[in-house]
Amino acid sequence: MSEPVNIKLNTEIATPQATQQTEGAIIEESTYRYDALQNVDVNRLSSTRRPTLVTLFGISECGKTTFVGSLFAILCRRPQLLKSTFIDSDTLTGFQRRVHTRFLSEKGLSEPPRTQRRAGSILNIVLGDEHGDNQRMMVFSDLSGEIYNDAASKDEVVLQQTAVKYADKLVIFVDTEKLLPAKNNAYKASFQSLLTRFKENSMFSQNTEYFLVFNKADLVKEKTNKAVEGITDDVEIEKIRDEVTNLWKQRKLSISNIVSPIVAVPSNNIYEICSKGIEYENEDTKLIELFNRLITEKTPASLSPEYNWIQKLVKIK
Amino acid sequence: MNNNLKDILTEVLVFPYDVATIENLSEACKTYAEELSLSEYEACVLHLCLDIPDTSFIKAINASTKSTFPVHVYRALAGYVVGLVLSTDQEGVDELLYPLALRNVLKCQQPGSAGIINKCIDSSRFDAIESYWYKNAKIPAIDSDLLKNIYDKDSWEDSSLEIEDQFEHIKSLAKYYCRSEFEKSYAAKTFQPNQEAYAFMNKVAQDLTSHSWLYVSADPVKVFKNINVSGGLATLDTIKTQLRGTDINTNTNIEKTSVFRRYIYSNDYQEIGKKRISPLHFGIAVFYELLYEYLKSENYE
Repeated sequence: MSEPVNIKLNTEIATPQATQQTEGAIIEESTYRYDALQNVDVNRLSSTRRPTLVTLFGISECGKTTFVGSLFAILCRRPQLLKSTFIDSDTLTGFQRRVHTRFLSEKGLSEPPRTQRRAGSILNIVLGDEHGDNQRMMVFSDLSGEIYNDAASKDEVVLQQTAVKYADKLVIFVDTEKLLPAKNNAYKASFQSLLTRFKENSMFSQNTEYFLVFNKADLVKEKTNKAVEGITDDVEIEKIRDEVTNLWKQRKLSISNIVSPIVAVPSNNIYEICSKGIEYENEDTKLIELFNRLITEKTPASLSPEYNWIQKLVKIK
Repeated sequence: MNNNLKDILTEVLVFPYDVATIENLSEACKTYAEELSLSEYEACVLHLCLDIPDTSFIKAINASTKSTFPVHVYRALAGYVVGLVLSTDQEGVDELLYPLALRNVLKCQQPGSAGIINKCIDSSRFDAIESYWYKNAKIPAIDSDLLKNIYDKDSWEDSSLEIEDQFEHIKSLAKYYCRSEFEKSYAAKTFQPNQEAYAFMNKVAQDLTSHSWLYVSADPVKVFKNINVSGGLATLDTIKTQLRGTDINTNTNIEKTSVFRRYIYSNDYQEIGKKRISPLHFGIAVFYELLYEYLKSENYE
């Protein structure tokens, strides 16, 4: 007779249990199962071919985590928008955490808990086409913005960011909230410093496809609306709108001037989005378009026709 | 083609290994490839192309490197080993069979292997192999009376021939059918006459595998000894029944031959692949490959 199993019902709210820490281990490391992974775990993700690595790049509070949380929410809620089927993930908890972050941020319930400096940053999803076929794995690097802040002044931090060096697609985030005000020099300086330091350490690869994303772009519209508040003259309203539009163009140009000498971003890879823009049936179309671009795999290699000698033989006949 | 392991591993790894690990793996693979048997070579081919793990190879690499690696890394390493073998000079029957086996499996490779194959196998190596094929796999290897005897009879038993005595002839015939005879005798014919070829090849294979001596004899047939084609659901008999349907038009013939191709390449490999597949079966597979391509070209090109 087998021993009785001692089952203890837990009626308390679950809290993460501390794992055994090795010497020098990091206290912020997640103890949840299926949470975001560390870089060292990436090569062990099971896939028949190399997953596509999408790296989200930007200093803190630019909306990287909200962005990836929104992607997951769309995949679960309306995958047809992305012409994909969500099949699996090894980091479901990591995604849910980000969805929760996005939710808190949207509702203004609290300060969004930003990605911990030493927490896992790697998320993965296995996608299929609309019928679930042609499965492929995508890996996202959602590194803490604080690390990018550190990297702006420390080469050793830059050199540790392998997810930047080996990215298939790298999304450079610009925070509209910090770019839009007149006093934005400090922000632009740190943005430039960050890019320059990665460039100087040869961390940007020519094989990477680069995207430039102005996040929180809804603030531009908000700024316009505030500026015309109480004004009834249509001409005056139009004038103010033009002023804000021109101001925004200048701001974007200033960022493009920083980015273009460092990495090549094609014009159709520049997006203005709101990463929270996933209201049901009123999704931000540019955000959805960008998601689609990012989750589209580079065409996998096919076998060279040189190997098909039978076909060649029949042709010769 | 430099058969560079670091480059090959980029097909499966998100972040590359450090130099020391690459060198360690490279040495382990070279050591393994130095004394490779036909069955070990075929196992690596199956691992690479069809993702059928070769546990012996995995254990050998682990023992040599004193480490373990993600499953997809072993597939890339198997490709590296296949590339190493092909880059060395093979002689005699090995020269003929190794690449032949490989090229047949290449055609049914699973997603994820093409990148590795393109990087680790130099396709130009096959030109020399094909020349060898043309020179050495001629029908004169078989006596014409013997051939006529085989053709005229409905079954192997009716020919009163001892299959063991004719083993080498059968092998030559299988090879021959793969190329010259198909082009010469069957390329211009309609499906019905081709039925003879189906029937003949299937009979040979079936007769051959039904003989107990096949499973206990020493070289040159020892490579067959672990084959049990009747062990799976898709037996040769099943395939033969499918192929010999009488009311099928040419379009469905393609489907029928596809059934065989899938059998030979998928079911067959997965069922008996772990026990290795015989050179003769590869010969038969090539035959059906040619037939399939021919039927396809007649209909669609």
